[in-house]
Amino acid sequence: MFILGRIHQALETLQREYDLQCAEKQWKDPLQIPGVLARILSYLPVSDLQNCRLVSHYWSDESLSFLNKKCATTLISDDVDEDIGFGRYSTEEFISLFDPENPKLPFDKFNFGSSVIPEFKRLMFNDFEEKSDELIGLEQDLDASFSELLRSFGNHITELNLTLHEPLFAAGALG
Amino acid sequence: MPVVRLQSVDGEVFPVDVEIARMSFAIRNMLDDLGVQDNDAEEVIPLPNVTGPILRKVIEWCTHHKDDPPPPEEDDTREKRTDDIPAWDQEFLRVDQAVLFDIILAANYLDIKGLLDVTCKTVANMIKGKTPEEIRKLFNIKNDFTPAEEEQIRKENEWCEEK
Repeated sequence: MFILGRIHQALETLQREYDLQCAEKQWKDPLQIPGVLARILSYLPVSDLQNCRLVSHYWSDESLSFLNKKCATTLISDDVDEDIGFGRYSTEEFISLFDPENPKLPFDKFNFGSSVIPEFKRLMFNDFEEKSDELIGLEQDLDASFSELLRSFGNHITELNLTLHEPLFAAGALG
Repeated sequence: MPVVRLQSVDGEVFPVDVEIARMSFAIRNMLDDLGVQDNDAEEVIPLPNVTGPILRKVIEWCTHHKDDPPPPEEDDTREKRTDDIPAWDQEFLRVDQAVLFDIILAANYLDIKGLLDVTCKTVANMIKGKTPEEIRKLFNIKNDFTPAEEEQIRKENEWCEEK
């Protein structure tokens, strides 16, 4: 009988922990239990995780950490001649995204790659014989933005690749 | 083979081999912590969060998988697959969503990792390829986003590409 009493005692503890875990008494829905939804999401590829982000706030929060692990943000220009910008986002938009006073995107939530940038000195466009004023201005703007970005979020960024899809822009290399 | 007797919330008692009951880490830890010896194992262990029909399913699953090797360590970097559910498990989990969810609740409560994994994979397969609206409908979830918040996430999603 002594053992039985202790079993009941242990079960009561288990029950209390379980109740605590399901504090809002929504335990009939396993998706509300911390860890269960995350376990489900861990099996999904990026496209489905993106849909899951749009389900609800709770689903969005839970999906984000898996997206961070699986995603990179690539800045692409496909429109260099008309507007020296970065693809779908204008230079201004692009720079404002990096403004730590007014971040438009949670950049600390994006994963940029896999190896640490030890030291950032200056961002430069390579492979130009002659740089136009416009290009120099853009270079300076981006340099300032990237410096700010790295100061603000450097701990989270492990690698940053900047690729411009025009032959004359070979690469904007960092490091 | 020593036996423990598990009692569901609705009073049904299931005699179960100790080795099978110990696939539940909740039960295993309890037996270990209490130092319950084999000859004490005739005691009834009440499980207040599991109904008889679900406990029967859980015991059926554990019995089928009793000789499985221990599950591998969690590894975040490994691509997780959902197309590797064994045929027996697929058939076993061909149940109503309500029953599937009850099995997940029981697997979580009893801490049976293998069963939790395979049920979560099954739910992941239900989500795959569905739109946000379809997912909400499937699981009866309320959309608590404002249109502006939704737009913001769509924009972030555009930035986010598979490595």
